[in-house]
Amino acid sequence: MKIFAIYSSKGGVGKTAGAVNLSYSAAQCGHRVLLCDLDAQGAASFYFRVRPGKKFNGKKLLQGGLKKFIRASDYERLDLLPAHFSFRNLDLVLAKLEEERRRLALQKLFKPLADEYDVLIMDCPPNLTLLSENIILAADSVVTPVIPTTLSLVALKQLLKLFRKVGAKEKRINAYFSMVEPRKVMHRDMIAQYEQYAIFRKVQIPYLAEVEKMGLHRQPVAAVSPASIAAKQYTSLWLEIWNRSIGG
Amino acid sequence: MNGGQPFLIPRQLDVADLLASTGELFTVQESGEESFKGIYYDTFDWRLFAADLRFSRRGRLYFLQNRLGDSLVEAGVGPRRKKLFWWDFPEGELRNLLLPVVEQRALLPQFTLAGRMRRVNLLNKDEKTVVRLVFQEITGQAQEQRFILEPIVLVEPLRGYEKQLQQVRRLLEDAGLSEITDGYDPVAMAQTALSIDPRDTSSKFSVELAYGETVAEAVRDICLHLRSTMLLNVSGTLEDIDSEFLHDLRVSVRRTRSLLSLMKKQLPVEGVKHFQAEFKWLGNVTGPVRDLDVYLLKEQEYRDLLPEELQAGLTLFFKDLSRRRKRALKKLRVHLRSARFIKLLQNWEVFLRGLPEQPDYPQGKRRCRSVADAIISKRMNRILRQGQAITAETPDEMLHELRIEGKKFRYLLEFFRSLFERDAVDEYLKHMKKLQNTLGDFNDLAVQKDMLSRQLQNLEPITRTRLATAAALGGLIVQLHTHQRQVRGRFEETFNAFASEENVQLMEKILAGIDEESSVEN
Ligand SMILES: Nc1ncnc2c1ncn2[C@@H]1O[C@H](COP(=O)(O)OP(=O)(O)OP(=O)(O)O)[C@@H](O)[C@H]1O
Ligand SMILES: [Mg+2]
Repeated sequence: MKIFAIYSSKGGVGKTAGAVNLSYSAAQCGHRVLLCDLDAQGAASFYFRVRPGKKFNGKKLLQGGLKKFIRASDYERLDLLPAHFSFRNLDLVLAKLEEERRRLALQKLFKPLADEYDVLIMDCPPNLTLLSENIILAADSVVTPVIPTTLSLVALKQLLKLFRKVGAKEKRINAYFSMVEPRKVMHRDMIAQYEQYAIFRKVQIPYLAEVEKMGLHRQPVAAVSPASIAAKQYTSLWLEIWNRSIGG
Repeated sequence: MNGGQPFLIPRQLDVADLLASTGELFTVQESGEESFKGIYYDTFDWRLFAADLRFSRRGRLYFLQNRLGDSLVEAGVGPRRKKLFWWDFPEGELRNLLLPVVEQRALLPQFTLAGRMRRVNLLNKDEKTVVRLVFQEITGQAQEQRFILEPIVLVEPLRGYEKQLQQVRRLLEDAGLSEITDGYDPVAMAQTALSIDPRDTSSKFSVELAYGETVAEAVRDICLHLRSTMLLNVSGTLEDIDSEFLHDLRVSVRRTRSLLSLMKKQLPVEGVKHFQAEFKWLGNVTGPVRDLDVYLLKEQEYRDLLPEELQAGLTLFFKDLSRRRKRALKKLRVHLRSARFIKLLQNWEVFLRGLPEQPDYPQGKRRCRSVADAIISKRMNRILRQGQAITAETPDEMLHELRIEGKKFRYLLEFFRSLFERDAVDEYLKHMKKLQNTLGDFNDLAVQKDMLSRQLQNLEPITRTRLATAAALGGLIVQLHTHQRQVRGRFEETFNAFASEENVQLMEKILAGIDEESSVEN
């Protein structure tokens, strides 16, 4: 099982849109996928029309037994671990653990899922906390959407710093340009300046009305219009990230 | 389809009404219709079915599934023929799975099933699917006969929505639908619709005798059973569907002859003499084709025994065998269509049915079980004596004799199995089988060697191709000889295992006990 974290410390950069659509693409490619909605806002769960179970809580989650909270999506091979407000407490719970155990907490949590899923994708909240550290440690790959603006790049620099802090290898970062508007000069400039960096993937996700409308349809874009540009871009992006993750 | 729970829909129930009733709890969303049509194949004796395998062709593709419809391998291509053998499929997993079950039998189209599947999603207030329903209607056709299977609905659960699943199940049960708890198997349902009992064509011998049966009744029951097996295999032999028809036909003839010889003293001599002669004739006229079949089935095995340089020589040899088989089959067909054969089976039936009431036949009135006891212990002692007398210096003929004794003894136990404690008999037969296999291998190798040597001597005039054949045959003879010596070397050990104190005691226990199943009836 490969673990992917869709993470950025900056809000509104397209993390959830990425997590939802990459999960769907992965399942379409034949992988058994679990999308973990780690954001207490539950946007990813909302897109899949899934509500959390009543007894869901973060403390219990860390003690294992995560399987019974999993719910099937409407799509083949794609399941969901829904969000819950008590994810907020995850940080507090983690803080109580000793350093060594904390590092491994998430990894231990996901281990029992390895025989059921090929791919685990985490939709992460936009912050820089203990939880973020743990997510980075647990993930095989950290996928980070970057809007081609100066402000967004700040978040990327923060991520690199965090990687150094926890001693994780930079190679595990997959950055991609998100919500790209080629008409904008700044976007073009920023991309030209940064696209050759090794952490950036080739495939970009343009700014597209179809993605914006996901909130209305409450379905992945490819489920509504499989032939759309957005659907194709997300699948290409998935394949690029996946191939890199198995190719080493 | 996997993981769905099947429910039978009563005929008078309207599916639309059913869906309307779920409407109070869920939104009903149609999500498409599919249809499928498959030709289902199995061997004459339903070997795949017995092994819980379902094999069908849809268009160009062949599907191998378990009884619940789960695919066991990726669908594969194969020829579109009325009759298929495992070797007609390309090398690969599909073929590997078919081979050990089907062996040399032909796969025949048994029936066609055509189905319509209608998928329906049940949605909650968020319009999230919580349960899926698949309605299935299947019709079938076998030759001219059409049939309809009872319609079903598969209830497919979605992870995390167990409560909703229970609600749907309750709704269905309240509406009069019943769950098929051991899973939905359309092939078994089609068999029922066509009144097919796969056991009817099974080649495994099994006859039910009542505990109190007399000798005459038991002989009648066993021989009538064997007679129907002969009849069952005639048309497949005539049509030359696969080599097993003739084989099974011959085995039932051999069994019949064996019973007549084992029970010689218990039968009316004059009446039986004629049939003994006739069954001997039947054994003889069916022999040549079977002998050739044995070699033809060994083609690959023989090739594998030889180094590549010599293998080409076998091609001509097998071509020649095929030609000879064609001629032999023609003759066999004449015999199987002859008045002599038809009369034999007719008269045999009349004779058997009248056997219990035959006048001046007091032996026939004896209780079969006590007679069986005596014959079994006599025969067992004879085998033990013969086997113990065999040493490394004993001529091969003694082993052949022991093999024949052993085979008769095995038939004997199988004939009367139902009069004894079956499990114990089966256990004993299992031990016997090891000995019989060794003796059988030894004999087969001897026979093959002889046949190949004869072929070698008849290769005239010597041409270049015949020379290659001669080299190949020579190579084979050496191989078979080595193998035969190895088998012989194992004999003593195998025999001692069979003649062990434990096995002798097992037989004593069998003879002392009564069979509970049959004795209940008395
Ligand atoms: N490629 C895109 N084209 C157009 N709109 C997009 C695109 N990607 C995301 N959006 C829209 O931008 C908004 C923010 O996106 P999203 O929720 O995916 O970001 P996020 O990083 O998960 O935000 P948060 O940090 O709040 O979790 C949403 O309304 C979404 O529909
Ligand atoms: Mg988000």
